[in-house]
Amino acid sequence: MNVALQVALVYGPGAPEGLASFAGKEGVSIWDPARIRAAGFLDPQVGIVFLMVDAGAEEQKAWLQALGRNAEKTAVVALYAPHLSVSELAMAYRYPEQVVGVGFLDQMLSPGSLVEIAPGLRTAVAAVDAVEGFFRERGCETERVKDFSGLVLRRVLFMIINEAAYALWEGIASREDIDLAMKLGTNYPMGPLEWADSIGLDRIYNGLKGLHEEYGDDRYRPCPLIRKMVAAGHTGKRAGIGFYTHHAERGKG
Amino acid sequence: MENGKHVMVIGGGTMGQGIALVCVLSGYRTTVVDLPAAIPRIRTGVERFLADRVKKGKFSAADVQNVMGLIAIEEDLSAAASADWIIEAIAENFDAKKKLFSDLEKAMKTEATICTNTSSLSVTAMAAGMRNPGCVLGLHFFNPPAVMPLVEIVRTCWTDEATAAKAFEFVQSIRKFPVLVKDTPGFIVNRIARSFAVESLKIVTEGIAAPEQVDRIMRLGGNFKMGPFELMDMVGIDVNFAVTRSIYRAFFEEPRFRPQILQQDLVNAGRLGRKTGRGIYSYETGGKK
Repeated sequence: MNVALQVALVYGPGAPEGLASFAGKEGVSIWDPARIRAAGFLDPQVGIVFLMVDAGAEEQKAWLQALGRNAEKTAVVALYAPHLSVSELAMAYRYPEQVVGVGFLDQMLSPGSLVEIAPGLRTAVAAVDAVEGFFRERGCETERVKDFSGLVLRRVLFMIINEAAYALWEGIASREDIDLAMKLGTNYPMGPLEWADSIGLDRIYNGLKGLHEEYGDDRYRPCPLIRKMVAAGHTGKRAGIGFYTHHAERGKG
Repeated sequence: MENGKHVMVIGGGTMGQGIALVCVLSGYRTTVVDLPAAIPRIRTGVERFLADRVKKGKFSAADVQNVMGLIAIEEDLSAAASADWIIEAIAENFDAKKKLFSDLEKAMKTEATICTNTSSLSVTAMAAGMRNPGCVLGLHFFNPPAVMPLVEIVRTCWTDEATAAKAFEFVQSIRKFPVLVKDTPGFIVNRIARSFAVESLKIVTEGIAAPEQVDRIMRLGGNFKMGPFELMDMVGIDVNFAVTRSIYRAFFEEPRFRPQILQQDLVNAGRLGRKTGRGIYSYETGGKK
């Protein structure tokens, strides 16, 4: 584990930015996504690149491909929120053995919180250790899980949110009552619809689509209401409107 | 303390007792009705609840006397003649509930409301065929009622605004938080919470993570108070499986609610959770993992 490893963060459009404040400034640079599309891997000194692209699986592949064009063989790519298996997505990168999947909820990332680490079938042990080391040095707990669309937390949470969206779409209760019921009836830390607004409906839609594609099982089809809202730009807090209206947040992020 | 209104709770099991106590504590004169054989157990249950409150310093001797003065335990439905709210909390047997409602209809005041605490049966089907089906609605309390703050008010196609509003005020008057939901399988909570348990079971079945890993991830990564497997062991694997199956059937086998074979295996093996000492996890006699 190399403590002095240089780290770069790449944010695709709409990606969460909580990792930037969590990572600190020492040895951390933020790469301009537009430059990567044109120039690929920007600095050979960098040991881990965090690819924070929370668009669809095809987008994730495109970014991996761009980054891989001129990457060093030793550089590790931590792929945030893989929408398909890491094994499959990693094949878009020049060195699939260097790609590791990571999963966490952006707004909950802090020392003491837990990060999922998911190696793909080809991933090298050293690459997994490097990514795990990054989070452990910053006080996070980690669990290694098998690589699959959404890993564990996002998969379960997105299924809960999807069901809440179906319940709302079918008009069985109001958004406020759905959220209140889940907080008081079963102790959820947030109501699923307010949680969805804070994560971003576009990201939830991409996650569910990935699961749906991976399994081919209608269990995972995204609620049409989520699709409709994403199409209309009602993606949650960042957009100022999602399941709720967020006046204070409008124009931010 | 008494507010002049009368509540009748039918069925004195865990839910019925808890609901009755919640009503009494908010000043309702409350009658609990059950079969003669069940009455000593209900009396003991109420006394134990009160003794516990006294022990914790939450109740004085006067409070206990007050409660005992407001609660009655009876064997027949005669209380229906004066009850404003009739809450049914008998076993989840559709025919038994239907028969009970038809008996109540003959004995109750016309302006009274019959509330069912069912979690898995159709309130609509229970109300259908009654002279005034609009007097029936669901009042779904959570276990244990004395602690859990939520009550789902379940409306059928006959429930009018005035009845729903009256139920809303009633729930607030017993210091609970009401939510309104249409009569649909699992209402809000049991329906949406399916994913927490069943998707986690599917993840374990597929070998993506072990149960203890999933629990840690959901707690430390997602801020859930309990992981899905700890919760399932506490609630009972059999209870969770029964709810899952019932919702799956009620939604005509919608794949989002499909149960997992692992649940069935655990039930078949008698590994029902904490109550049998073993479920997903093993528990020593002290209840610790």
